[in-house]
Amino acid sequence: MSGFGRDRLERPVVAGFGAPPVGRHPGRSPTDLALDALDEALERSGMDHSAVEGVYSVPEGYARAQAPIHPQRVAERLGLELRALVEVENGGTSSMLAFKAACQDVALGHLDVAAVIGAQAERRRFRDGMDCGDLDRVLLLSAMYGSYLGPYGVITALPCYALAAQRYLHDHSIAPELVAELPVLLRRNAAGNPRAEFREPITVEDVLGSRVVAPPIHKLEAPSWSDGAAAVVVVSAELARRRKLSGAVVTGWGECHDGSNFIPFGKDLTRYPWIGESTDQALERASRRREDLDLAEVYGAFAHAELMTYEAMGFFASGEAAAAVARGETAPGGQLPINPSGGRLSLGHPPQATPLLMIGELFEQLTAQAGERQIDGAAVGLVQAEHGMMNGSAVAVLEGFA
Amino acid sequence: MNGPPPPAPAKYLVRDMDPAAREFYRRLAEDGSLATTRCETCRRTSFPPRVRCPGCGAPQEWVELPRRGRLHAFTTQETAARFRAPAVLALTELGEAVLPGIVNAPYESLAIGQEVHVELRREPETGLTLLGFEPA
Ligand SMILES: [Zn+2]
Repeated sequence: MSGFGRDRLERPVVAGFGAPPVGRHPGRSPTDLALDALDEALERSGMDHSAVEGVYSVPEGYARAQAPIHPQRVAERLGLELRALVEVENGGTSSMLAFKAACQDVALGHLDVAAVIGAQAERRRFRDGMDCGDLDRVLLLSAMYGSYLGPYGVITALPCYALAAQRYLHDHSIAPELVAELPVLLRRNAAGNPRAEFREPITVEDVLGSRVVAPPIHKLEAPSWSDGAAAVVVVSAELARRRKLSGAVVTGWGECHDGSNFIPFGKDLTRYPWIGESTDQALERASRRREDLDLAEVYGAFAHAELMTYEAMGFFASGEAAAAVARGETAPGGQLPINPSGGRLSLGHPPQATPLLMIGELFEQLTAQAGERQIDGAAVGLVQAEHGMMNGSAVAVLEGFA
Repeated sequence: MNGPPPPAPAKYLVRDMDPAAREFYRRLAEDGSLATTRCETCRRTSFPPRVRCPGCGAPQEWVELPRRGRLHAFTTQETAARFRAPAVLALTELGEAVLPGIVNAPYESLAIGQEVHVELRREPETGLTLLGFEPA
């Protein structure tokens, strides 16, 4: 059971969000981008830097050599005396779990204003590492994939997801044309998001005509290696009331991890019970049902994986998500809008910042600041992040707070 | 790992291996044995191999895996750090376990459920002995 929820006196409230556009930021370090994002988040919350009492960060990405003891370097740049200073790492869920750490400190009454930052700016570095024979970096990545995938040359998540995608199409006899409807919808959603990396409309033919990057996954069904950053300011409900801040209160948290690294060997590659369990936990803590949700931001990262995630979360029966997407059930105005931000495929995917970008989308939707993509009357939202090849998941329920 | 240290390119990979992984690769390289662990108490087979049973915590014994099995899923890797790309990466059902390996056949010729047999392949670059799958 998580340490905070509806029944606690002190509830954490997301009171600010900032993020530079996802895409390319040559010459900027991840910390530069993260602190830009924090400036924006604080400005939007109406607070200044001196209000920040804790900083929750993540490592600066995967392919770059890590800056040692990164949190202190961030603290030095801010020049603030802090009550909390931590870095959280767990693959794709890293900044989601940094957000959790911030919420816990707020819920426990340890502090009232927490800044969560995540950033990744290594597109160029990653490519150079591959092209210029930076063997050390490549070998570090292969070690990340562990003792049973690394030796076979696996250095990205792509082939792992491709194995699962193949089983998904095979086990449920799903037509590739149906899967391709998802990237098309996400691209349409991204058109209304000024932060999105990809905003030009695409068609099913474009998706299926794009290069196969690892069969059966096409380029337009896979995320790009984006630069990006995001910051979220979490405050206590008490402070939010006192300072008349609007925001999104965290009412539920759920989390479940399989005992595996990337691939849950020997288990069904089309079903992810950890995602379902974390969703159930979060909804139960929030005393909410799936029908209460006005929108969801779901990690996904690859088209087939995103559809399997919808199913694992209990929004659709196994093998049914692609057809539901094609019918418009997850589009704005549908039964449950999912990834109105454009999702990983069109918003763009800087993994170390992605969960904060997703929390930010909920913040904007729940405070009616989402502009063109605003979902009318959005009051209850859910955000889900995963790590590895969907072998672990964290979920939060957020609700409008004014 | 017993014997001479592996060549430099595998340094992180080998450095990070847990004792069960070291034993898995030692058996492959020195004994030509493809084995994983099974619980002495609840008889549950694990892959990856483990020092203790994930189910009941009891000690494990090593058991040989069958050398014939069926392709569970497969894809190709464009960028494979140690293989001349594209390599066909597969998960293969070998008895009660599902193991990764490289298939020695073109992607287009393969089907889910197809029978394959294991051919051990020694990788000079890493010093590790790995699994290859040959169509039966
Ligand atoms: Zn046991």
